[in-house]
Amino acid sequence: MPNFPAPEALAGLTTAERQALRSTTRACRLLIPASFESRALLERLASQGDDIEEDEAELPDTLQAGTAAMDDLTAVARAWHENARRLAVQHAAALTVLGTAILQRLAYDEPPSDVDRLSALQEEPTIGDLHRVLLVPAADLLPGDANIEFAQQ
Amino acid sequence: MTDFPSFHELPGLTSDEHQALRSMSRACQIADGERQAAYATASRLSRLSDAVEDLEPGTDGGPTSFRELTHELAGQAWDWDTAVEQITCWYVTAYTVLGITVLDRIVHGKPPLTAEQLHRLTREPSLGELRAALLIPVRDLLVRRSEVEITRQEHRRAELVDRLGSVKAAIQTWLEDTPDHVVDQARISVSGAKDTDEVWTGLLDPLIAVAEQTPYEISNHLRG
Repeated sequence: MPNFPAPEALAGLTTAERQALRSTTRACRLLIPASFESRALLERLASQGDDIEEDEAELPDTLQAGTAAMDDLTAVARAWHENARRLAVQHAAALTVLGTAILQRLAYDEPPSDVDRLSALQEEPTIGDLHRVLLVPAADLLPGDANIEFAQQ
Repeated sequence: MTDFPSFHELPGLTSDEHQALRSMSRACQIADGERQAAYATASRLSRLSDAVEDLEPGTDGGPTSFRELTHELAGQAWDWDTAVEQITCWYVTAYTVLGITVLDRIVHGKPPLTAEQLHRLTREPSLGELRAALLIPVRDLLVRRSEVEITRQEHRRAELVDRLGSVKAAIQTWLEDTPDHVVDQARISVSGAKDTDEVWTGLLDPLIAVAEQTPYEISNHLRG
């Protein structure tokens, strides 16, 4: 993942905007890997569990301790994964809405958001807000070289 | 980690006894491995949480500070770690008692364990059952072991019995006025229930050491 842009590269943003982006990006960079890592853990347990289950298939149910342990460990790993994923989703959704809002105001040359609005944009958005943001035409937001021009203003 | 002795290497055991030991051995190894993974993740996140503790307030911005976030995530990882420890506790205490019981029955020429007995022995034992198994004189259970090794195993068990005494005292503190024989029926893993401190801290590693040694003592005896 590339480094977060240096302040000079975001010269068109207000300090509050840059900090809001930076803070939400930092949260995502903590949470998204934690979510993926715990997902990988579950996949490893699932594959290990299949092997053990196959190996113990012939045993009476009461002696399938390896299989039982895998089930127990998978249940608690899943709870951990779901917690990490929930946090990751909240912050990734917030970054999507916040980032798009800032990009949009640059693209349409609107005034910067104030601190309260930025703070609200860092909260987990509603599905409706997220949906609306994803419907903003990407062509408007990605005007090629023009966005460098915007950043330089 | 050496492979678990094959059925062939444990010729005096019934097939059920061998399979019970083997699957419990595996369950313990898996749980112990996950315990290390959970501990590594949780302690890494705690280190991160400590490291950002010094971030200037205000540089962070936003409704949720990064400090709070790392703290929350680390807390969730520690919950996972505690849950894995609790699972490890079930299997390790059971495997310890199962192994010592099978060794004891081989050494003293007792009849093989029935399927029902084996089934019961794959469940977490009570505090009293665990202590009773650890109090079986280990000197009687070992063959062809040096005096140094015997003494080492005696010490290990004595230390565990001592720790179990502290566990019992801790449980007695929660459950005031509970008679001794009732506390002996408690399970160590129950201490992982919400809002109580875990009493198994420090017990799991020495129990794993005792439990993992047992099949080799059985093998040693049977080939003696």
